[in-house]
Amino acid sequence: MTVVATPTARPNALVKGLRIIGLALAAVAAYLVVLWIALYFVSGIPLESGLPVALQQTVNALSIGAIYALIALGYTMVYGIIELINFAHGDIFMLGAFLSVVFLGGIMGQPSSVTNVPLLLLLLIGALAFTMPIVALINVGIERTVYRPLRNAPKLAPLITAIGVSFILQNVALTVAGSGDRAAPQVFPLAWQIPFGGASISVLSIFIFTLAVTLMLLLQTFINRTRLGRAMRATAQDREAAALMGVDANQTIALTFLLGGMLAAAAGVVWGLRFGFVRFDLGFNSGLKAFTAAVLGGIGNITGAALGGFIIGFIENFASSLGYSRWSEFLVFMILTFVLIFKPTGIMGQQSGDRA
Amino acid sequence: MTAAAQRMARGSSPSPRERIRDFAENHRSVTIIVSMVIVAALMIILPKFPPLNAIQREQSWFDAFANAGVFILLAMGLNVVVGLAGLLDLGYAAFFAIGAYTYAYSNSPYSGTDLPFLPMLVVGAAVAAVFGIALGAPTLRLRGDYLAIMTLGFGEIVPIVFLNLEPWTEGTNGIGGIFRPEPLPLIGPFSALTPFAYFILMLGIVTIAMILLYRLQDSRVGRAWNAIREDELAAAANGINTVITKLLAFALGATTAGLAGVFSASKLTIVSPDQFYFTVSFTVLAMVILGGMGNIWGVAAGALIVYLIQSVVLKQLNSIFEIINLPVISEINFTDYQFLLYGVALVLMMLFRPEGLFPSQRRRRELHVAEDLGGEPGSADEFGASAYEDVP
Amino acid sequence: MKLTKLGALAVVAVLAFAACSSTGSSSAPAGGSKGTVKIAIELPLQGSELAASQPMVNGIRLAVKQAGGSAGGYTIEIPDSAVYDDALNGAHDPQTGANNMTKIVGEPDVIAVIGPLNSSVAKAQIPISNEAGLLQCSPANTNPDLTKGAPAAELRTKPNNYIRLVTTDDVQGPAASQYIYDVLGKKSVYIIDDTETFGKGVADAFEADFVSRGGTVVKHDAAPKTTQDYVSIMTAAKALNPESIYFGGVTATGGARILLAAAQVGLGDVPYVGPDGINDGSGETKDSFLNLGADAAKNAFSTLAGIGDFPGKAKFDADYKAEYGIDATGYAGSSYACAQVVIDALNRAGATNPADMAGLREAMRVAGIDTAVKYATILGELTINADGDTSQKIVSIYSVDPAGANGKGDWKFETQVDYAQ
Repeated sequence: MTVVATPTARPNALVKGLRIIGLALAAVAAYLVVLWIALYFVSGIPLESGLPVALQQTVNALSIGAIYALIALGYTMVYGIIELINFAHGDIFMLGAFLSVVFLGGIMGQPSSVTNVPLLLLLLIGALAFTMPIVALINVGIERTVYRPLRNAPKLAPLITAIGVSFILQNVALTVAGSGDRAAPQVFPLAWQIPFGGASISVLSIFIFTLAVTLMLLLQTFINRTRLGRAMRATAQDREAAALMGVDANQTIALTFLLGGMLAAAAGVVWGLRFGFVRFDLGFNSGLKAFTAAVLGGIGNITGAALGGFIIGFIENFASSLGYSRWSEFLVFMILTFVLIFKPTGIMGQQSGDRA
Repeated sequence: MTAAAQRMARGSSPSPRERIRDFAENHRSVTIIVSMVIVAALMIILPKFPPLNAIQREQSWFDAFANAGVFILLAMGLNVVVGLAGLLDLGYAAFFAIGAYTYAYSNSPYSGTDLPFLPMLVVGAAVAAVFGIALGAPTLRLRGDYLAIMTLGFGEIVPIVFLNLEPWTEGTNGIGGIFRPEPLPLIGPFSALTPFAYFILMLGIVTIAMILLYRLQDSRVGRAWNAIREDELAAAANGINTVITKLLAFALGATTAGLAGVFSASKLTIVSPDQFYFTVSFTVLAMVILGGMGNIWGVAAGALIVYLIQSVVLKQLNSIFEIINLPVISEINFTDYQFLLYGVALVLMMLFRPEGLFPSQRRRRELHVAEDLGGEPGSADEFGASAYEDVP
Repeated sequence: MKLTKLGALAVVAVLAFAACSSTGSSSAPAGGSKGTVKIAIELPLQGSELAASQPMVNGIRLAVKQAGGSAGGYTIEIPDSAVYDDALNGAHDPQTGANNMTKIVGEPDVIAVIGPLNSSVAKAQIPISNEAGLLQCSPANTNPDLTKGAPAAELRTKPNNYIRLVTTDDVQGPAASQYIYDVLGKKSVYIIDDTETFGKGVADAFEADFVSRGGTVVKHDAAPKTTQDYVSIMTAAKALNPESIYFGGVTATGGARILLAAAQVGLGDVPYVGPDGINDGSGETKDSFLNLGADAAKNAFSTLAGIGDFPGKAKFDADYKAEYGIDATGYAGSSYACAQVVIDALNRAGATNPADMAGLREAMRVAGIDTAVKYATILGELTINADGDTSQKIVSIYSVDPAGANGKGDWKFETQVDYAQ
């Protein structure tokens, strides 16, 4: 019995990219409309004035979604490669946020916005260049000292250890920075707004979104096109076979943590710029939501994590826009529950290993 | 193979220690009661003398022991879920909350009813067990890590629900003025000024809980838990109903949390959502890990030690170093670093001694299997039997 | 096994040291012939709340010192062991507070306790101190349920032992409402509280009053302190076009974060009003509202559930500065006054010549809650009513002076409203 393989034209990258952009725009537009209508029925905001508000909130959702996506990528990559839920990843993000505050505060002193564009760019690049390597190295260090010895231990052990590391990081931040909020220099001028359909979109939001998407595309390219990326994919799929092929598992895993740390650090920098404060327990809450995002999208799946991050961001924004912000955590956990019960592989499905 | 069978295989005569062990294994309940009486006697006598009575007053010690008892119950319950059945439950505080609120709903001015305490203990435990099944059911198909996250989610959801559903739960103010237990025979009345009464009550509850849990551990259910912890697939292949076994683990684990909740509510006289956040679940988990997963009296000892460290030792370190003036150490406020300590302890334990401080033999052998198979000689247990000889 | 042995050794060493160090050293009495008594202090002494608590401890010690360290024939001591911390992991914890109170009532020579700072801790403590009949004076609890109505009755099984020298949130909230409506002239408000006992209580009281005046509440939102994205919430608030914002809570639960988010979405020019929870120091004080809010705080106002401009203020400020080298802030004044009340009670209780410490305690309680006594405190003359509340129903309103505290901003006293009429 022969199977005739009909050659189908492989869609090239451009078409694929356009398709994705089209889908994304459609999703965002759908959210806009749904929120607009919800604002009318739930909050009683008349339709004419509701549209700009919905627009504003959609932009907010994209910003927070981008941050969650960046953090979720770290969770998903680590899980994909060593099947460990790195509880401490959220706190890595928190470290990035604090380091960014240290850097920008050290240079700029009193938190204030910088309108001089070249200087601003310099500061932003400097903040990223400062935080990303340090956080990445800390992440790799943690993996090396704490997770690696437990790689072959029964599953409970590394998981519990990760919780321990999370608490250690939180308490170190608590000790150093105190239990209150720390002001983060919002050097990106919040006054830069672009009027659009009655609402004003801050340039910062555009920056955040662009930065996140760029980093995600870079990561995607790295994983799909480079040798090291291929090594990561191979190790995630089958560590022993990869080792047989000459892939150094230790190095590859370290690389995974490095990249995850860098993304989390970028998220941290962006957080400080947008929200103006950092706290020692920033990691715990954001981490949980980002992890939900990773599971939602399909743990181990990079695109899934990014998608999940945005979805969670949109859901949270929806709840806040309608005045139900105190239920947003509840909502996120219910989603997690439903996803785990009905579709544990997530929206985009998983990429490796056997699951529940 | 039991220890006795091992020895028979070796052909050696039992040492006194081994004799006691055999006796303990064959007459569990008696051993527990006798041990608890001894422990109780120690707890009553020791605070009368230095150094303990220099640290704090006798009544304060009884109060500390009673409070520690809450955590001992929680740790023993979590031990069933994590240690015996191998299901990592990170939201254990939810059951604690349910037990506490159950008592609050039945014994406070809020509801207007005042029911007898001892039956309420059973009711609270039962309600918690029901929720144990309810919250455990969705997790049945999940593997270790996902299970952990889902239970973490539930552990977060329950206090949020209590917080937000204000018309029914008094929200953040919580339910106050909860009635204390009515005076019990031999123990006397309960009030804020009688920590001794609460202490004795807690001793009784812990003893009964221990007997119950040891019975379960030694029973078919307990063996089923061990089986699904070690290899779920093999267990199912051997005819163990994994669904029922897991649900039982959740239910019975939740039971002790319910007991702890009822006791805590009746002692503190107020329940509010902020008593039940993740830090509580984490603390109990730390106690179980430190104490020795799978070993009931081990986790009880672990819980007592951790609680005393938290409430007594850290503060004591502060006053000691105020007197001895050392350059850096005297500046430190040790109580600030409690959770840092837990985190470090957890990591170190997992790296070097995952079976805990007071391990059960079985778990120690399990957790060091990698070493054993790697051929590291000399991983002998405390009785001198080498792990290799145990392989059937 | 080695680990357990090491651990056991460590524990033994700690205990040995403990035995050597005598806690609660009772030194020879000087000035009081009848013996030594202690006043316990119970406050959160960690993290961001330390900024609020430390001035209170200072105020109490100053009062005792200025009274000569004795009263009623007894020497008064406040050793470090009598200062209890109810914070856990950086923030106040009701359970820890309850445990502390159990210890405090167990100390026979403690005849009064001053504290706590937070109403949620007081809720857990009052049942214990009430059963023990120990006089408790709080310089800072503002939740009305602690003394008024059915909730208060639930906490007490015996006659009252709890008094406080600040007025309550059912006055503090309306004071802010009146100020916004009448003085600032804003007729609509967006309310957001932090879902906690204090924050929600004062926000609810504010709302009731504002509505009864004829104002509009565009929305009453709630955001727990774990919330992180306040920008979305405030964007939703902006859409409703409020003329003012009221925050119910403290700095630690989001006061400054909400302010920053409000400024970010374009609500930076509307008045931002909060209760005493945000009145926690100048822009130079670490972790304070003004420090975190920086420029955005220029339109902020806060209320203090107590008298801001009191008769003895100038002298108190000078004495405090001379003793501690820093300015008196927050509840330092009311803590001083609490100590004054306790000392006055001790004078009267000592005069009845109680037979033993237990008798003294009861005499203290009776003396402290005596409604007939007129206390001459630095806050002015006040009496305690049958519930344990102070007769002073004065709420002070503060605005922000951007030039204060070396340009970092400080709270400036605006006015005070007396609700005693």
